[in-house]
Amino acid sequence: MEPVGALSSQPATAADGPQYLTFRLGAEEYGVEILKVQEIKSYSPITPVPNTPRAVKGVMNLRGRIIPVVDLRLKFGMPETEYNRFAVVIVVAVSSKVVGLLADGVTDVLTLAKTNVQAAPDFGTPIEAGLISGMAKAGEKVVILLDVEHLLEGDATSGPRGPR
Amino acid sequence: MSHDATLEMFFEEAADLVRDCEAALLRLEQASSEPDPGLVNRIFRNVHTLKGSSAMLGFDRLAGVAHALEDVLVRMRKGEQAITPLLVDTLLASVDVLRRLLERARQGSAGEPEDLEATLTTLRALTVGAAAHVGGNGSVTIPAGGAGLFGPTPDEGEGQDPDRSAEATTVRVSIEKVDSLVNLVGEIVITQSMIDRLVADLAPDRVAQLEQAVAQMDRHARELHERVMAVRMLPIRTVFSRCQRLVRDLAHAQGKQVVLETSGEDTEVDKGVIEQIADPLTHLLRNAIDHGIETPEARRLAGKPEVGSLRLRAYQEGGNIHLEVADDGRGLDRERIARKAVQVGLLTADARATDDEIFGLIFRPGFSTAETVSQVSGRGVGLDVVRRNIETLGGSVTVHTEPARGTTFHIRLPLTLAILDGQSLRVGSQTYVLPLTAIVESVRPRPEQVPGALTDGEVVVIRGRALPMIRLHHLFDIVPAVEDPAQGIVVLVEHEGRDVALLVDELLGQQPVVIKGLEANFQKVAGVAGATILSDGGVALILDVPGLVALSRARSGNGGGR
Repeated sequence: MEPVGALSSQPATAADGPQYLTFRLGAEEYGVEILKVQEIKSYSPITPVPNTPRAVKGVMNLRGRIIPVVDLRLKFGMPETEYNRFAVVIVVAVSSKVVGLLADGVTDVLTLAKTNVQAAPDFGTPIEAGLISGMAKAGEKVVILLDVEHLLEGDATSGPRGPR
Repeated sequence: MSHDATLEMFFEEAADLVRDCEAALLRLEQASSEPDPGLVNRIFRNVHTLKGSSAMLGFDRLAGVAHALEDVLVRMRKGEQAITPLLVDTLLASVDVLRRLLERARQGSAGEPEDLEATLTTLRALTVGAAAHVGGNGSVTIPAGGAGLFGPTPDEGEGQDPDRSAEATTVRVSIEKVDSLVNLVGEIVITQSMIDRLVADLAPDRVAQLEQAVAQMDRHARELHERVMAVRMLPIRTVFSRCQRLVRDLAHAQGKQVVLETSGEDTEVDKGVIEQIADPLTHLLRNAIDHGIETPEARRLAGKPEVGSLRLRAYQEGGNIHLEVADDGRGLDRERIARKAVQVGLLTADARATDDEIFGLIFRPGFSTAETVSQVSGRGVGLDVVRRNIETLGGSVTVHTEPARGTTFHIRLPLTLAILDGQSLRVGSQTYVLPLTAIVESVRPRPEQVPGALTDGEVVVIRGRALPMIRLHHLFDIVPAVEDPAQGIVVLVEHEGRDVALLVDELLGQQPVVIKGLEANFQKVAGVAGATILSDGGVALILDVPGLVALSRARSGNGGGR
């Protein structure tokens, strides 16, 4: 089987399919559609907001705008870690809102043809199924593609985190 | 220019024209004995302009009404049509129809106001020399004019003033304000390049120059901030001009004679305040006419002029806007209020309360709805709502009254909704901001002032009063934080006329903060009014006292397992 997808360093044409920004979260690699990404910021202190879902780490200042930051580790049921200088906040624009996604680090930009993206298999990950739009192989790696629209749906509406 | 932009401009201008017509009509009526031809001309010009642009954009109904109105105005100009109160009523009703047509056109909704045909008929009747019919026995009637201003009418949804919904979308800014911004930004660009150059080849002897340039930049930035805020400021005239009509219609309906004098219309107020102050102001005016100002007979008997006087005043003082609604009516009935207060258990029979305390009671929720007070001595229908609206804006309202001399309501509002005076405080590692206006006092309690948990929550005893205490660190799940109140600070805040204590770790500084909403990109959060950006670039949450109290009640209501 041919390697699926191509690194961004190779010239990409529109025919190649959508581009994805990939980032690390624990041992896995994830991708979000690059058109949804507004910018990538280095980790800066985040102000916790009380009585909001646990995965919402808090809010931060994006040039005068207050945006919520979602900790993807918590969202996906991974253990919380101390974030270091490699940690990044991926700022995505989703249906008129701007939200930060906290990840361990950004890795690459991939161009993935539609045909190379497979539906997410149901293999009992802790990640709620609706959050994954598919999976793709890029060289040796498997990239889990996230559906950002659905990723944030739960956070704005679900109830407060339980008492600790 | 796109079609949409053209339409938007038309609607804005049309709203202005209609408003101006109304104002001129009201003035015409006040001086009906010797009508000012200038006023008639002014109305005529407005209507004529409106007719022209409506026809051009294909709003035929608007053009039709304007045309009919124009015919009447021509007769008035020629002196063929006497200016009677009834005529003014008719014209005002037509203006209302114009306004409703405009609103419909703006929303693109189909159908026409129910009174369109009747209005057209009446206007046409006036011009075919049938004025006698209208003036004489009123065979052609106009549906209650002006209803749109102060009450829900069937075709206006929730009784929203059409003007207001139209105004909500844009701000019209005077050219001077824009020019001053442009100039200032120019200055900033120059200073910026100065700094760049200095930094590029920074020699030790240039440091002083650099410092100077940076200080200049700082000044510019502050000034720019101030002027940008000023763009949001609009003269309160727009609100006041609506009041004239309201007072006129209400007084007529009640058979009272009232003259409204306004002053300080040019006082500039934040756009957000303008939008939200109309309701409380309307309420106070209505109250004054309903209950304050007596009927002409009663006034004559009391030795007062038959025409009651209402004064609406706006002025700026320091960082606040002051609004006053004063009537020369009968004043508040202290005895009756006191009696009612004893009856509902707000006062003990032998308590000696000050006037301020007694009259302050009329703002208490529930108190006002009591029939005995609202119908007989008056004042109080929904005054709690007035107070709540004003407090939502970060302001306060007080009342001063003299029997038989009248009552004055005094409203104090912050200059802008975008900035508030904040008290920063710390809980655990977090910094929060509390609006300074909410704070009564802050104390570090001695251990004996904190008797421990009672059945319905903790209290702290301040000068003999046991006040409910809310632990902010519990409410917000903050660990670690000061657990022992005697090691922390309790901040007393007012909530619905009572003091509540908030336990925090320590107080930090006081400073004005720029309010940012959390809703724009996130959601509303209970107990949090918004957020602000600190000088280090971090974010601090602004606390919302009513929200905190509600949150605390909800927690203790749910078994309060803490």
